[in-house]
Amino acid sequence: MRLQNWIPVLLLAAIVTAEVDFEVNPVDNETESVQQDVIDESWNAEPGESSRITQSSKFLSLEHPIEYNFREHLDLTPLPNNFLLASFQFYMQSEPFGIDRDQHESSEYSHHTVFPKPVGPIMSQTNTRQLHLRFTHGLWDSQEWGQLPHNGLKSGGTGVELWAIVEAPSKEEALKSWITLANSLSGLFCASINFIDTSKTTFPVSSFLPKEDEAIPLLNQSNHLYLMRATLANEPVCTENLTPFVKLLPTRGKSGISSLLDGHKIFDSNWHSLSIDVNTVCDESTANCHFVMEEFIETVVNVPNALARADRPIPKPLPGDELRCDTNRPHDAFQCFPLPQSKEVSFSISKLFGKKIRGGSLLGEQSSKICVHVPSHWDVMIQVDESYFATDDNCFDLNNNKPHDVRLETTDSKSVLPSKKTPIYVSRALTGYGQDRGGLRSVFRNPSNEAVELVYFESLPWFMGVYLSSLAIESDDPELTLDSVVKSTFYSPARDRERPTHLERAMIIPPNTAFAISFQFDKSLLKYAEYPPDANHGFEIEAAVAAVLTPERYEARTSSLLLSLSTPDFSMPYNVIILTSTVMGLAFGTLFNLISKQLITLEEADKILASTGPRAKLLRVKAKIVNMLQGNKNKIIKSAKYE
Amino acid sequence: MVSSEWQVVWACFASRLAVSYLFPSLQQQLDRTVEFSTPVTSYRSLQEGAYLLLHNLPIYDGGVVHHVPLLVALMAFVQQAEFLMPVLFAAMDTLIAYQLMQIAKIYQRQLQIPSYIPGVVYAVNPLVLLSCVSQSTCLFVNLSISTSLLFALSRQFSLSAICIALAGYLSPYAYLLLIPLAGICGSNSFGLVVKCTLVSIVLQLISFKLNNDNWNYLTSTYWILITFSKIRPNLGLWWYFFIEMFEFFIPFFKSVFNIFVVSFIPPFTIRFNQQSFYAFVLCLGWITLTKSYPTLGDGGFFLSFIPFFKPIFGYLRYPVISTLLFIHAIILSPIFYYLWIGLGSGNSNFFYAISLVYALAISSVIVDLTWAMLRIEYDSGKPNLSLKLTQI
Amino acid sequence: MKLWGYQALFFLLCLASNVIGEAIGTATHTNNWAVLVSTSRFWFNYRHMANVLSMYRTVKRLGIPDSQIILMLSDDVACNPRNLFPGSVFNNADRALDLYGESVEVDYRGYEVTVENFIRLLTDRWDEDHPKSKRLMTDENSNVFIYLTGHGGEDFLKFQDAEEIASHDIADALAQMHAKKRYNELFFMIDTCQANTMFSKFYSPNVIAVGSSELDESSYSHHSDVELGVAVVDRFTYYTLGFMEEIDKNSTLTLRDLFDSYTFEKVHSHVGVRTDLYPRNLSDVLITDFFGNVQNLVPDDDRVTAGAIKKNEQDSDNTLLKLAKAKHDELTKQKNDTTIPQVTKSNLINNDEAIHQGSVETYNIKLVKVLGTLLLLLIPSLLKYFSYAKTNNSKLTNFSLYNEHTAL
Repeated sequence: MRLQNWIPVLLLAAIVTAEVDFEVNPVDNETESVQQDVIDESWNAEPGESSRITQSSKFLSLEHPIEYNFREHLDLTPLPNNFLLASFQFYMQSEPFGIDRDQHESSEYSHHTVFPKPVGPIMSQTNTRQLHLRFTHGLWDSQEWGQLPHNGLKSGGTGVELWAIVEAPSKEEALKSWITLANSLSGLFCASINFIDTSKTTFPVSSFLPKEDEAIPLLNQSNHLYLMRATLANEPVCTENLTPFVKLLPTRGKSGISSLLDGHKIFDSNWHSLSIDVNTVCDESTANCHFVMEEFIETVVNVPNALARADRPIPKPLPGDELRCDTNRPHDAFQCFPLPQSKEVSFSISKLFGKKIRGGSLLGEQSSKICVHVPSHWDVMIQVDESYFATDDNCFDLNNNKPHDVRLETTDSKSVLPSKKTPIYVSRALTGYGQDRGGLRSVFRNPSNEAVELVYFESLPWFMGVYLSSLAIESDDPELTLDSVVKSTFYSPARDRERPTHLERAMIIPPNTAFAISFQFDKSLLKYAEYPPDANHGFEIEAAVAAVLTPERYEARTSSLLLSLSTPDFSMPYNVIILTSTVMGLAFGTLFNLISKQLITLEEADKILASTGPRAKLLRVKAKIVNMLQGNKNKIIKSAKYE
Repeated sequence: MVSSEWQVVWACFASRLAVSYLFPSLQQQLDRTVEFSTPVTSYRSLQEGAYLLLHNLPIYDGGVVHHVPLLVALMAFVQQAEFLMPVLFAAMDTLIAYQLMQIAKIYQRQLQIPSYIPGVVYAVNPLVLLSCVSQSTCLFVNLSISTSLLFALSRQFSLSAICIALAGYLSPYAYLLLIPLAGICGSNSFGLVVKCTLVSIVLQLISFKLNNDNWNYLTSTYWILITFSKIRPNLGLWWYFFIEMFEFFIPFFKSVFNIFVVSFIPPFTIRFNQQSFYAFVLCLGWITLTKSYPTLGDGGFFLSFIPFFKPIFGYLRYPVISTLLFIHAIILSPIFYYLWIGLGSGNSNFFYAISLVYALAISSVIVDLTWAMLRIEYDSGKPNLSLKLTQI
Repeated sequence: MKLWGYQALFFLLCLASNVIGEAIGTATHTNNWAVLVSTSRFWFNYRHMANVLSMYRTVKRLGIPDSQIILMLSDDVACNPRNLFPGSVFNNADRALDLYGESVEVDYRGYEVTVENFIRLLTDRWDEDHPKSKRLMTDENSNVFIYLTGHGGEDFLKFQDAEEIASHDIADALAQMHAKKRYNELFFMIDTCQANTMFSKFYSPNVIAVGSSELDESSYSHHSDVELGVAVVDRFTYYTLGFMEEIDKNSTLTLRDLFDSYTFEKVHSHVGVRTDLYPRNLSDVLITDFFGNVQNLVPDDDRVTAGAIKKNEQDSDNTLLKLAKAKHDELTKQKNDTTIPQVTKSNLINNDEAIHQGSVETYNIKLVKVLGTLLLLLIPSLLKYFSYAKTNNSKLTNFSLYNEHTAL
């Protein structure tokens, strides 16, 4: 009986070992078996797309492609007035990891495929469940270009924006994790993110929250989730920030659309934004979690300027033969009236970005995609080696590793796809003059026919003392009052050097209305060491965020402001201390002398001085010496007498 | 009351009302100058506190409000009748003038001046007038101090204790005036202190209840005076010193400055325990010189006690210098402040120098008065101006 | 006869120990690090950024990886709005070489470049949060190259136009580095005005220092770029780079060659070299000892130590194995013991009351109103009290200005 029970097991074992022998290259034996384990797990863990790893071959070939959970996409959208929005989008997922009782990453071997290696440990060590990081610079012209890409949810205000959901048992622990997170990110992204401390951090209550149906995994029941946000509005964004973004990608800028990313071109633009969003997705039944990361790099370039710079790096006046002259008006060999800018454009993005796309990434199950969003009268072609292809929907797949290029041609560059209008225009400015007080004025305009509900989030540094009693509304419509516009206010006042002013207002803007809300504030004086080295430059105030809830989810941001504070004299610390101490000492000393000494007349004083002063002492000593000498003389005389 | 005193009272009241209503923007302008308004006394932050209270927003969790809950509650209560506030302030100012005249009446015999003179001096004192027009809350403190003084001199010690407790509740520096007040009361000083403590505790409990059962108003109202956490320019000695000092030394020097405030109160009281009223005035002057957020209203209040020193005016050694220093400081300080903050062409050192001059002015007044008091003490009450004295 | 023999033996022993000593000496240099600091702010100090980036490029070209270079740039010139060439920094008017390139790793930038951070970096005294990529993780086998440029004077170097570091501070920091065994040899190069004063106070061993100008001498810039509108490189660094361009990873040029290449006619200031703290002869020190990444191999099969080590190794092997086994057992036990931990999902974010303590208040308006009406009702009686003064109390005579009975 027993032997019979064992036979199927033996058979199964034989089959399995035979399979293993047949299908696997002896060279890749070990790695393959590990991958196999991971694949099995990923089959179980992921409800959505699962990765299939078939036999790996030494060369990338079309027959047996490697397919990881990686997707990349390039969107090119011409904007009115000869601008072009290039949006590089990368989506990555990590391999699942189990959680042991202590919520640390599983002590099993952690396998990294397309998900960047540095990000995982940062998230795990600080117990971060969601991480959002934005580097943005420039001005997005909403009036001309319409809505921000991705509804404004993927770009921030000028500078660096960071917000994260951290799991911690208490607020202090959450802040500690937050500081650790900021420091680790500063090392990873070569930015001064470590300047984020509690005096810049807010805990938003109704903005920056995840969507309502999106629940955040909580790995320890006794912990809470904390959402914290901070912004550094004066951070420059440059190549040293772009380099880590490129290095985090699995292709590392060597193939796929990331080969176009070049700091010289990305930062020579009117607006650019680099963003990272990392999410933790967990399966409750198996307690396996994995990270999902979205990395977006977007830039708006002025096409004629970029093309001209590609030919001529230094802007110089055009040579005479390249001038486009209006021959109907007076002209000569050296000067003439220029024709308006030609509407006929024809350019390739290799000229725009300085290089061609080095093939597709060939890593994901979907191939790298380039889409150009243009109206029908534009001609869009993709060039592979020497041949040109076009498609109906102007979207191209990159299936091989040959250099690709995209060419756009049109006779009317003024007509582009109509951009979606922003639901709201919001801008903010500083008012008043003088360096001890000022005002802040935010202008809201609803151009549509529907009422707009939004949450207006403002975080002001602690050295602005806000007076909410001075809130006022200005509008052409006399019926519009503050109470009809602002539904509720959340106000967390600033504590000097500890936390910023945090204002969140839930507002409703009626259709076709514009109004301005203003309030006054006091500017504080900072201590000597709290001024930056270029103190007269001023302090950047971060952008205010208008998070629109209805009719659609959209985030609009105002520009950042520059607040000039009065400065003390930095060359004078020693002098000030000396002078103040002198005055204090004068007052104290004089009074002390007056109170503790006796009053006597001048004559008495002279007498006393005569008997106890230094001159008197000297005289006494002299008298003593004279006495001694005289006494001796007497003795000598006496002794002489006796002798 | 004599008719001349009534005239002074009405003149005082009328002048303040006239200035308040004839120049309606003057209140806001004065409330914005650093000479008359500080974070702890400005009318604007009182309005802010009332607004926050009525809208259920946090008042003391940080922010700009540093007034005690009772004041904030009062302001919230009279929110609708805010246009009557100048009347209230003018009335309180007049009350102080009236009380000064009453004190002069008490010393009628020794003072050699008609009793309405201190009232007139108070009424025409530009510093006090402008401070009243700016509706700074130091007026409440000054009123409580002068009331307490009047009651103490009238031998009504319980009422004096209540008033000094109220003054201390509004501004903790007034608690220091308990010491000279105890000197005035003589044998009843222990009872005075006990009653003052009881009333203070009652007031704190009322504030606690008003503030939604929360003690956080203590840090905003009292603790910032001691730790000087809100650094704003004013005519005091503290602000520039702590701006320019390195972080490491700040705690030590803050404690030194706090001890400096207390340092001369007991000595004045002990040394002049026979002339305890004048010890009180000198202590008042010392606090005005050394407090962390002084205003010109405090300085003006101190200066309005000078007429009481009439019998010893002959002994003053440099009254001209003191006067000139005062005029110098008061005229130049708004100019230099505007040069620094408004125009941006001047340096902070200009305004700082004027604050030093102002400190020198007050200290020269105190020193001169002390010398005069010592002189008359030596002369046993019969002035002998020709004698030249010195000290050892 | 015996004496001769002993002397000969002694002599031979000395020779032998010398040889062994040298072998051991050169075997203790295993990696190279570079600390490149620019200390000036503002656009018109473009050349200091270009100096540092040129040295960065040189050091990288010769093999030191980014992870072993600490680059401190005090201002952003590449993406400065005033820069005509966004993303580029040039050190020559011909703009042939873009120093910023495509992958530059700046460890400290902007306001982070301070005296405090520089000294902390050298002495490695940081908070626990400080990321490893921003720390100088050197050990006693590292050769460290420190390059400073900016505006300086006698015994000081100006950081960010706001503070100064004194030569004593650097000397003390280097002494701390030596005490903590954080360098094998240190090469200190500084290009500022009166640069030689900055290393005059050093007192730690194994330090070579070179500075661009003497006391009371200024260092000059080399040339300007008319299009950019600023000077693009300093003379001392320009000629240093000119020399370095000849070097590749296998070069045998020495520090003596480098120092000999500086002349007054080229640099327009007297370059100073300090070698008294350095034991080796400069003609024996290769440039690549500091600038490259040549590693010395320590052979493992040395007969002298083999016998002693082998036994230990065997033992340590066993202990290692035992440790690994124990850990594995523990982990598998843990895995088998624990039930699958719960992962729940939560929608409550920022739900802790401690966060916004005191931000939502409901004031007792009723109490306010009660107190207010009380006060209003009491005002007439209060007024009466405030102005009440008993003027006819006989005990008042005690409060006199002067007391007739006071004695002196």
